[in-house]
Amino acid sequence: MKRRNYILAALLACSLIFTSGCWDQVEIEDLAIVRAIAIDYLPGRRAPYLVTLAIKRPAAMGQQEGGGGGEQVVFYAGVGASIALAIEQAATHIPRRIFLTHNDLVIVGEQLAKHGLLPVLDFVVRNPDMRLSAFLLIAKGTGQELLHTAERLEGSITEEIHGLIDQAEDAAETQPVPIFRFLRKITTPGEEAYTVVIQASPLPKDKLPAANGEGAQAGEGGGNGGGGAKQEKSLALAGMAVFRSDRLAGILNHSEARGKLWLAGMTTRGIMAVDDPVHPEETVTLSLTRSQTKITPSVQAGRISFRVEVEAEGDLISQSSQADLSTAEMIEKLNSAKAGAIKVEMEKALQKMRQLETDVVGFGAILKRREPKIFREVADRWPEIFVEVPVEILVKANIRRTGLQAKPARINR
Amino acid sequence: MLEKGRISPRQTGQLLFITTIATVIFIAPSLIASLAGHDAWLAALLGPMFTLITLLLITWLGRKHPGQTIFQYSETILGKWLGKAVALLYVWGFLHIGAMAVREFGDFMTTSFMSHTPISVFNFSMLLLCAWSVLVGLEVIARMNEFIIILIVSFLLLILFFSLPNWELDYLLPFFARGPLPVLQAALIPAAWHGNIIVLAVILPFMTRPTRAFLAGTAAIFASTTLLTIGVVGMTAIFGPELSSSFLFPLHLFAQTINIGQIITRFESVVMTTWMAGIFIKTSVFYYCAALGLAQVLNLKEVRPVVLPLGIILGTLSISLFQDVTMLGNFLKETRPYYTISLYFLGLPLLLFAVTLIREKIFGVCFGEQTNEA
Repeated sequence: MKRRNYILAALLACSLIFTSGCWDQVEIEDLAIVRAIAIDYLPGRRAPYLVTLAIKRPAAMGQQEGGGGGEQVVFYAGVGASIALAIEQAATHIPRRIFLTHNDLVIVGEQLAKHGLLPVLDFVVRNPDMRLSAFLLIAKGTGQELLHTAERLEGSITEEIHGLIDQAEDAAETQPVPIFRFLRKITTPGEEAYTVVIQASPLPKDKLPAANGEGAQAGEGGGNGGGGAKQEKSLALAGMAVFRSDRLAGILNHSEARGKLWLAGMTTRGIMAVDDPVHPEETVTLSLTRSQTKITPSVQAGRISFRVEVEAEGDLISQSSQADLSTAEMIEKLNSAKAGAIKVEMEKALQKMRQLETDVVGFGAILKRREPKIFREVADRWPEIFVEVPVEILVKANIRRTGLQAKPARINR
Repeated sequence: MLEKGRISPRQTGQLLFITTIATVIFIAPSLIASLAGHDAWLAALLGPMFTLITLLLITWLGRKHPGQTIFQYSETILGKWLGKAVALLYVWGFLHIGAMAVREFGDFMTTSFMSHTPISVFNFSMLLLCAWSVLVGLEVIARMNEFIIILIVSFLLLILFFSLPNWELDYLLPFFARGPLPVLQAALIPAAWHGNIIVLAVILPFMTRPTRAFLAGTAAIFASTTLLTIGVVGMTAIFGPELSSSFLFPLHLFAQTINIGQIITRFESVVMTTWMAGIFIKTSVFYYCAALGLAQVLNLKEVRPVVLPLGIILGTLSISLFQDVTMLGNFLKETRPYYTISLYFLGLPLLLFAVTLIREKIFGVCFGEQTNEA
């Protein structure tokens, strides 16, 4: 019995050899860990897909004591007739095996978005290494240029983009969209997809004409990241890319994007300005804390219409006049001013959506849920019908608190 | 007796539960969604109710022929040659279903995790382990399952729980958008998997209290139906029906969407572990049933001699049954429900039931007493 146990133990020990896997054995030193992937389309070429990989520099992974060193990335690029082929071409330059599992940023250039996202989506879903929780971002210009923007606050550009996404998840205007959510919208009848636009814009100091003190110095500091020259610019999530089927239809600016989110009931936080009810030339800034949207479709004699009811809550966060706004009457006025401002945003967004013929709010999907029979009749023509469908918008705003100050203290003149 | 071990009704229920849930929740949701769309969860809820009929039949038959497995009482009921034919048909059925389970597992591993490794590595190493558990017998499998069930259920609940922030229940509406017919058709798919409780017809005589068989079976069906329905609801709420029907292994992609604060994320390996454990139990049970059946048909003294040959057959079948993953998918969606339900899960039990009734009522044969050897 004892001897049998020894034999068994020896056999088990032998099986350890196989636990590392024979065919799929990978050592971490052999991996090129991709942190972001940018995909562009070069029209008129035989190999139109340009893929740029931001790969974590291996040396940077070991040295943790660098004190906020973060990570550094190196860029590799390849072109090909498909995304997989482009990556294959890029791989010929990389001394390690491309490892996509840790990639959670998919940046798509504007050109490719206009040409159609289907190849990108197919690649992401089919490839077992790609993750559906990765964020899909549309770059103004090309994705490659965007990735080559110099990092400013974080250790690398990919970290910088991640930070922006984390921040934006709380903001009202822009909503980063994971790929699975994009896919869900794109496949649901009566609904179109959207995602966030990322843009590199000139630095704030360049916005003022005469303040170029340390510009040159900062430009040098950013250039040590690796492949290619880097431009000193600042990144921002700038609006919402809306799609018609898998093609980019247009870009909603900040206030339109927020209007869209009001319509869809997804506004989380943000601030907005309205005119002071006492001194119309001054402004009052209000915050948005909580909101609720209800969309009800109605069909009367074959005519489809929608009613959108929004209830928004928020606080008064600043005012530029001396007026006492803490009375019930003034709050009422502010409430209606805020409701009016929200309604304008929503109407603008709706107008833009109609102009672009894309139902990103999903009115069609809502109609389908409530009146499946009627939707089935119009499903094929929904984009054209959506443009004409009347939408009634009712907004109710409430200002709950006024910060730590009820009214401005009187200042001596 | 070929099997000396005895298992309790609770162990039986657990065994039946894992045998059904292990594969159904990993593969069936997308197949159901492709047929029923929004109403996939209704189909998931309805489908297993068919299985109650199977359960009623086999527990009734088991009570009529105490101490006998389906291989033995088919001989008692239908006579020697016809009975042996039916028993062999069942042996083939268990082999076929077991081979499919192994193939599903192998395909999952090669497509999702280790694309360079040949599928035979996964299939044969899984079968090697299963062969061992078949040799040591039913009681060991059942006891092992008591541990594995905790693993599987807690992992599945964990995945479902962490995915909750991504759920949008609006995607479940409207109900019965395409009418009730597609729902009923789609309900056959979960039914085809839940029909796996046919293994109860083999393990029933080895229960400490065979009278509790119906209870154990019902509990298993309801538990796995509940878990499957929650899974399908979650999948539809995360992906919408169109998208989820395009997936091969929906639960794997389902786990990919989990991302809570960049920390609670990457649950795919949990899915893999869960599935591996589930497939191991399921294959062991089917392998065991096939081995026991063959031994009983051939009147062998013990199971041991048939285990290795059957293992090789299983391994070969698991690779050669399907050329590629699309063929597997189509078979699972279009052929398997009709094939398994009409033959193994309803057809043959009904036949045995009818013949028993006819022989008792018309010819006055009394089953139960003279065959009582337990």
